[in-house]
Parts: sequence; structure tokens; C-alpha cells
Amino acid sequence: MSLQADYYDGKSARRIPVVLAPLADTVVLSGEGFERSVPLSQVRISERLGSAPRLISFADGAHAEVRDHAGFELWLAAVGHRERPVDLLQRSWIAAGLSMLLVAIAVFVGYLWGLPLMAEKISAHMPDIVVQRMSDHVLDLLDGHVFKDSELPADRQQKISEAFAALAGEQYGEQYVDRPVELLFRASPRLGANALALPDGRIVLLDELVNLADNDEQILAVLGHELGHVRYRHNLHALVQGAAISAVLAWWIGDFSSVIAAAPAAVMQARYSQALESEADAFAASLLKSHGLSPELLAQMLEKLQASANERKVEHAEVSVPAPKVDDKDQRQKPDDNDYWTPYLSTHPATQERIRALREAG
Amino acid sequence: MESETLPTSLSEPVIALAPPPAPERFRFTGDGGEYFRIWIVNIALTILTLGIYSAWAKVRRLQYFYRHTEVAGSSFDYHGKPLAILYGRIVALAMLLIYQACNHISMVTAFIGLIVLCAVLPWLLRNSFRFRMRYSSYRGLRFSFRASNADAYATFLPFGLFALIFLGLGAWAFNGEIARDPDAMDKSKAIAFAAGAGFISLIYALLIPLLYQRLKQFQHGKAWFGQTPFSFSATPRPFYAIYGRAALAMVGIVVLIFALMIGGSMLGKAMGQSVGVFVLIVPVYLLAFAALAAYVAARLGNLVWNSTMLGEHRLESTLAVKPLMWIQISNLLLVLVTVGFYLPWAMVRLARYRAENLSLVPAAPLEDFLASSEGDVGAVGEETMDMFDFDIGL
Repeated sequence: MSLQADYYDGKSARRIPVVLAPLADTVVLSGEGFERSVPLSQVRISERLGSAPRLISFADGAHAEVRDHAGFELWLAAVGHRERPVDLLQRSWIAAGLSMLLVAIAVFVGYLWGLPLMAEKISAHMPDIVVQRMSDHVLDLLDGHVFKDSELPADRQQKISEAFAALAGEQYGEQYVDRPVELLFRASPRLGANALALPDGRIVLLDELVNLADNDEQILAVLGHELGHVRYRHNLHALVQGAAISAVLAWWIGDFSSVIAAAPAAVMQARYSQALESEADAFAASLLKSHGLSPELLAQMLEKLQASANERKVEHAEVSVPAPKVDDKDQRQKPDDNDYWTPYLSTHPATQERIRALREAG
Repeated sequence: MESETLPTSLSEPVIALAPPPAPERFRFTGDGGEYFRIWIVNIALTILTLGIYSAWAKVRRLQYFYRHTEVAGSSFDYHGKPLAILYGRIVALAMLLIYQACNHISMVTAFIGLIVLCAVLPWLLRNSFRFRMRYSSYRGLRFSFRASNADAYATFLPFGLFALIFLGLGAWAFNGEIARDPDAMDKSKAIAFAAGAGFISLIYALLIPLLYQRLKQFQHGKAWFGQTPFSFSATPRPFYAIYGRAALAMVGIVVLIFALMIGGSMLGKAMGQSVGVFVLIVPVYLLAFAALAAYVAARLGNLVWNSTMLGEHRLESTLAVKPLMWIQISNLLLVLVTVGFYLPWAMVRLARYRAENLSLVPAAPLEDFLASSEGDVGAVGEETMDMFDFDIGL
């Protein structure tokens, strides 16, 4: 048995047809007026990469190319070369199947648990200065684009602020930030009835929501929900998770098309937002109860918000908020959007479901 | 083509009568299913090692594609060292993080970050090209990239300066503050900024064909195979012709889409539905865009390769728009449908089409040329990884 190969000396591109002899532990090449014999331990044999030619590389830069795969197998057996374990894996359909399974499991586990856990850890250790800057930035942006000054009388603002301080006070200061809780008043005909939390713990309450509420307890219920977002640093979570999802998707198919990579990121982020809303609801429910108030208040408020949002939707068919999507994800005024998108895509879990959960908690 | 003619005069060299050597077609012999198994196993190993194995996976991917690409009966090979690639990735990641941090701190640091990026980009580009060429070989001879840092800066720095002017104007208009809110800006400055930005963007768009021509001139014109230099002869003019036609077509598409939208909304009003318009517009837009992308890729590919020579031997590229468009669109759809798992097949299909449309047109018998081609003595055996020897995968 002899095996055909092409030999190149590494100094010129001249092809020298050679024959490989099947001798144990030795690589013996012979061609016209050419002979080379080297111990097996002094050459490198390339791993199998599909049907690509196999290469025998010598220390001096010379190499031989072999295209006869079946013959090479026999020759390798004769000289006593053993393939590396990864070679077996890369050929086997079973290994490919198992790898696919592993990728699927890794994606699943990472998405459901790994990513939220990582986001929680990172957001908990985010330096205060960064959080502060981000919050200032978002507030500046909103003030410039969508917010107007509040038209509530000063004493009304004072009253709500005091009630809020009483609600937030003891729970809050120790557990989360060392800065005092702050409630900001703004108005926004564009956003409608809404309240939102900034990453650093400031909460913005809009006049429209104050006017929509039947009583101050209902306002407090919504503020309790926002406190939940602050307490768990949801804004930062969403930010970190969004960045991580984008990075993973960019790695997976990014070098193929960055456009395809961006689209699923938004959808995947939506699911986390739902979980965060529910968590904030639960926080609000227990906070309200500890202050002798009923979670029912938040449920009532949700109903009112939904009704008002649906009204607004009819009024101007294309409510759109140009403000940054990253931080002000807490857009309560947005309808459930069920007629536009599937519930899966909506930021807030089906409002009915949240209302039911709150009533059960009460 | 039988050469029965006799030399008419003794002074005429005999070699001129020999038939010209036939073009040597490139071939790609890879197979999607085969590559899929290698690819997926390497992804699994990358996940298990928290990303570290990705450098080994990259070497394998390049080796798979190089070794399956052959011309004149021999394949190419890739010799990159995974550790060098890992190191390059760490450097690139660190630079990206620093750059991002600069962007977030203030406008001033963002500007400084950009200046530094502009300043190091030519150097990075040159090192990347050098790494890629130095670790590529054919018939045992290494390729090399012999551009100096001075070459790199002379080629690319003017473009970087231009980007800086653009940003400087922006910084001035924004009064050095982070504010992306046009309402908050000085009215006169806002107008000046809008006019300046529009003007500079236009000039920048006009510079893209030139930038691409310079990039390819740099990349191909400074490459060597052993002791034989490549050369690149295309002027900017044909690049402008290709981009210009694509830009005109783009304008046409936008007009068409506007017409569709207006027509659709009128129709929608009549029927009380507005969703129907989008159903029409999205595929029209995507299809038109894919067609344009394929047009540009095919024409540029042909232009670049047809203008490249290895010594006295020509390269010839015959990419056609329609087949390339079909491959690109079907690849895109199949990758989407299979959540990415079709990727190996997609890459193999594209590599095969590209290889099959490239040939080497020898000016003299190729084997004679190859037999006399000598390696670059300095480069062979230079396996040590020096500090700035990395591939950032540009």
C-alpha cells in the first residue's frame, strides 16, 4: 500500500509528487530524486476538517498535502498516529445533536435565570455616580421633550409629598439608597396619566395621574408600585439585560446580519419587563398592607389607567413617545396594546391579570 | 489554436507562439453539513469554556474555509495561533469598554476617545491585515503584508481628520454639554449645526467610494505572495460609478415606497384599515434593499479582483448580481427561520459561489512561476507572537 501526496519544501511553491510509506513511527516520503524520512514525533498532522486535504507539517516549514482520505486513514493506522478527541466530536452527528441540545439548554437557562441574576448583581454594584448621571440624563431629556411644569397648587404637592414620605420612609432609606426619597411633580399632556421611577430613586408624578385618581390613597398605591421599581433597581436591570441580550445576539448571528440581531432583542426584553412589573406590584401590595391600606387601591388605579389609556388611544390613533426607550420603560399610560400586539409583546402583563393578582393579595 | 505557424523571423521569441496558459479556476470544496458539525461542536465548547474557546473555534473556521479553497490543484492554509487571537480579542474588548466609558462620562471625554480611536485605527488596520496575511499560505509559501505604519497613516488619517471636523462642529453647536435636545439649543447655532451637519454628511457620503478604493489599494497593493508582490490598479472613478448607480436606485426605491404609502393610505382610508399598507411596503423595501446590496457586492467584488494582479498574473472575478442576490436573500430567510442554525450552510454557499467565480489568469505557465517562487525568508519561522501581533477581526 502506498499513499500519494504533494510535497512542498516551504522555500518555493514547487509541487513534488511523493509517495508515503506505511512504516511504524516514521514518516517516509519518496519522489523523483527526492527522499525524506522523519520520526513521527517530529511532524504535526493536521486535524481532520471535513474533506479538506490533510497536512503533514515538518519543523522546517515544509509540508505534504494528502487528498486521499481513505488511504490516509490506513496510513495513519500503520504509522500509529492517534487523532485528538475533538476530531471525533467534529465528525459525529450525535455530537452535533448533543451540542445543539447544549446550546438550546444554555440559551434557555441563561435567558430564564442567568441573565436576570447577572443583571441583579451588576445593577446592585453599579457605582452611585453612574446611577446618578444616568438619572440626571434621563430627567433632562424628559424635561426637554415631554414634561411640562406641574400646575398643582403648592399645598396639594406638599400634602402628597408628605403622604409619600410616610409611605416610603421606614421601608426605604435603610434598604436601598442613602439619599432621601424625592418626589418630583411634572405635567405631560403627551404622556397622560403616569408616574415613573428614575434609577437613582427619584419618582416623577404627573398631574394627569393626580387628576385621574379619586383619592390620595390611590395615588399612593401607584407610588408604592414605583417604589417597588426603585427598591429592586428595575431600571438598571432592564438596562443591563438589554445590553447583554444584544451582545449575545450579536455574537450568535451578528456577523451575519446586525439587523436580524436587533429585532429579537426587543421581543426578548419585553418578557423581562413583565416580570419586573409583577414584582413591583407585589412590593406595592405588601407596602400598602403594612400601612393599613388595601392593594385593592392599586387594582382600582390600574382599571382607571387602562380606561383612560383606551380613551386616549381612540382620540389620537398614534400615540408615540419619542423619549428614550431605555429608561422610561415604565409608561403606565400605554394601553395594553392587545389589539396592536400580542400580549406576549406588551411591556405590562395583561392588566386584567395584574388586577386579579392584586385583589388576591388583598 | 493549433500552433502550426512557424517563426517568421528568428528574432521573434519562440515563447510568444505558445498558446496562452488556461485560466486556473478557484474551487471551494466545503460542504454545509460537514461544516455544521464542526461549527456546532465548537460553539458548544465555547459555551462550556465561557467564551475562551472561541479563539480556537475561529482558527478552525478559517482553516476550514482556507483548506477547502483550492486553485491549480493546491489549497490555501491558515496558521493563526489561537492564543494570539484570544489576546487580540481581549485588547479589542478592553478598547471598546474604555471607548464606551469615555462616551458616557462627558462630551469632552467622548471627543478625546474619538480622537484616540481615529489615531490608532490605521495602526490597528495595518496590524490586522499583516496578521491575516502572514498566517495565510499557499503551497507552503506564506503571504505577507508589507505596509509601514507611515503608509497606513498617510492613507487613512485624512478621513479621520474629516470625522473630527464633523464632531468638533457638533461639540461647538452643543456648547460642550450633553444635550441631545434641539429645543434647548441656541436657535442660530441650531441652524448652523443643521446646515453644517447636512453639508458634512453629504461630503462624507461622497467620500465613501474613495475611502473604499483607498482601503482596497492599501490591502491588495501592499500584499505579497512569497517574494512576488500583488498590485492594485483600480482608480476611484469606477468605485464612484458603482456607488452612484446604487444611490440613484435607492432614491428610486424611496420614491416608489412613498408612492406605495400614499396609494396605500388612500386605499386604507377607503377600507378603514391601515395595516394593509405595511404588508406591502415591508417586503418591497427588503427585496429592493437586498437587490441593491447584492448589486454593490457583486460589482465591487469584480472590480476589486479584476484590478488585482499577482506579479504578471491577473485575477478574474465573474460575480453576477442575480445569483448572488438569490444566495443572499435565501440565506437570510433560512437563517431567520432556523434561528441561526442554517448559518454554516449559508457561509458555505456564499464561499462556494465566490470561489467558483474567481480565477487566476497566468501570463506564463503557472507551474514555472510557482516552481521559481521563493518564500520570504524573514517571515518563515517567525512564529513568535510579538506584543502587537494580533488580529482584531476587522
